[in-house]
Amino acid sequence: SFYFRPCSEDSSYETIDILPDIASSPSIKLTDDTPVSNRTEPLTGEEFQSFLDQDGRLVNEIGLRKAIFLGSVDSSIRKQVWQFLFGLYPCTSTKRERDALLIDYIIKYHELKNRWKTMLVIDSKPGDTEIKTKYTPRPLDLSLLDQTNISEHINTPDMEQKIEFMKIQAQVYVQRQRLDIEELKNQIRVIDKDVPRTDRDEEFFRGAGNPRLTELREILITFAGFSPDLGYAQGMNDILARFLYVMGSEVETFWCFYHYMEKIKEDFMEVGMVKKIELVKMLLGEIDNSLLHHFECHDMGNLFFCHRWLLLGFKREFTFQDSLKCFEILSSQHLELSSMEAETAVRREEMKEFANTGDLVLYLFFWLSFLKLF
Amino acid sequence: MSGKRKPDLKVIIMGDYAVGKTSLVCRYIEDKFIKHEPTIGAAFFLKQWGPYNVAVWDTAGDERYTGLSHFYCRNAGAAILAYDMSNPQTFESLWARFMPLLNSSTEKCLKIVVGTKMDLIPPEERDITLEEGRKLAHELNEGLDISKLACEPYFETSSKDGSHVSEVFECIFQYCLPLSGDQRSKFGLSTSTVDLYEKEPKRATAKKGCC
Repeated sequence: SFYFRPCSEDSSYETIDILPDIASSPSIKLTDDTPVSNRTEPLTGEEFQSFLDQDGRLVNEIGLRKAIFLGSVDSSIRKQVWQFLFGLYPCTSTKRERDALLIDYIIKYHELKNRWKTMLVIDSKPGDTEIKTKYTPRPLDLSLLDQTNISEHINTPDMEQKIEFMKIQAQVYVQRQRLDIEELKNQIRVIDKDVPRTDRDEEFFRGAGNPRLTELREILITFAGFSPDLGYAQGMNDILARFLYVMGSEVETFWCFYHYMEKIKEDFMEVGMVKKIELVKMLLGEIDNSLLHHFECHDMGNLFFCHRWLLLGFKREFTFQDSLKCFEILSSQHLELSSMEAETAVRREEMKEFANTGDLVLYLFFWLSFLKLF
Repeated sequence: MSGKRKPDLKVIIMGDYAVGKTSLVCRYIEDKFIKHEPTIGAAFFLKQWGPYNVAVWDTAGDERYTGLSHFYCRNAGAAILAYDMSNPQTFESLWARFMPLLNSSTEKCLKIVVGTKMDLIPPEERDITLEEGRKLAHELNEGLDISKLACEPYFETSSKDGSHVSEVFECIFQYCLPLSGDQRSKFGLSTSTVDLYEKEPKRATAKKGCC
């Protein structure tokens, strides 16, 4: 007998002369009592508040991750949620602590940016006024703090002293970073080719001279400059565009991006990406072995076509708005079955099988011997 | 019985980032010129050439995934090595990066060097001369009998105005999968190579392609 399935290449039906592999069943059979939740509506602001305590700590992180996994997030609270999800702020931080952390983020980013700008000016030819005006370091901008509780204390002598101290700390931190200016100039060339072609169909990035493009550019240069082992790679612009759209401010976007890249930087290295695709292959073998076999028959068994999906979290496969949902769901890292639950489900299946064969004595004997071990 | 249809020819496009690889394929396949996002991994296009199927693989310019590039080169019948005519560095990349890549994996692979963005650079300002381009193209094909190639293995194109884009592909296809005059007319293709230049765009007055 033949097995039919739509062919992805030309959407016609084609005949595959192999049978689906019925003999090899997945190790966990999903039955009615396997705990699998239904999809829900996006998480609302009210529900999100219920995960926080009165000081603003995220006390129910597991609950939040599960809610995101099942239904994504309402766009009105997306920024707040992503701050936790992508590690901008620790879940255990209070609102007050987050405000303090934000000042630190602002100052550090400011110093990082000034460092490469200054170095580009020093490196430029004496008469090059264009570079000088383009890269003259700007004064520290603390306007981002206006929305926080700090805003009213910002001009007190106490606070000013604190900020001065933080500046010095940040300068020490930045001076310690390695920065290869020649290499950075190469990276800037690639960045300048990619930024103008990043999500330009989106209203947010549309139009000539859109200031968002400058923000993308400066974040990417800062990141590339201070990540010597990784630098800039094509695709980072796509990832960054999502963060900038959601976070809005350049500083918060940089640090979200920075933390996210820390986690996934292996994807931008060949070994890491090949390993990841290999995992997809194993997973597909488990879930739909005949599909994997089909790919193998068509010289696509290595599944390299997943590369972009995995690297960008399906960003190019969906509309921009849907890709945001997709991104947060993928990043929720909620496991529908924890390893304990999976173990229990397997046990339950084994028990059923024993019960079905009717060999109850053997079954009891098995469990008794098991218990005796303890 | 099997419905498998393996492509009869695999063509791979390589070259530095942002030289216009995707634009070149899209101009040929869809006859459109639009801005493209940087390619991640590779993109795949299928093109009908007479009775044959040709698979065109458009690869990413980023140099991080050389191992993957080796895979994309495998079994390629022809390779298009693209460089940006307004950026001589991208021509250097063909020497430095892509020549070693191709030599190791595909000896019998036809290599065509293609300059892109011709519309951006006035003839008197160009850094890479026609001779240099042709020289590289011939060196790349050393050890391969290209006497049957109907044209020089070197083209200068503009995906923006369409100059010489289809000529690149048709020259490759005709070499790898020769069609007789009868076959060509049967499938609605122009019957002589001279005809290919019929719709010579206004801009490309400086040179007459490469035939």
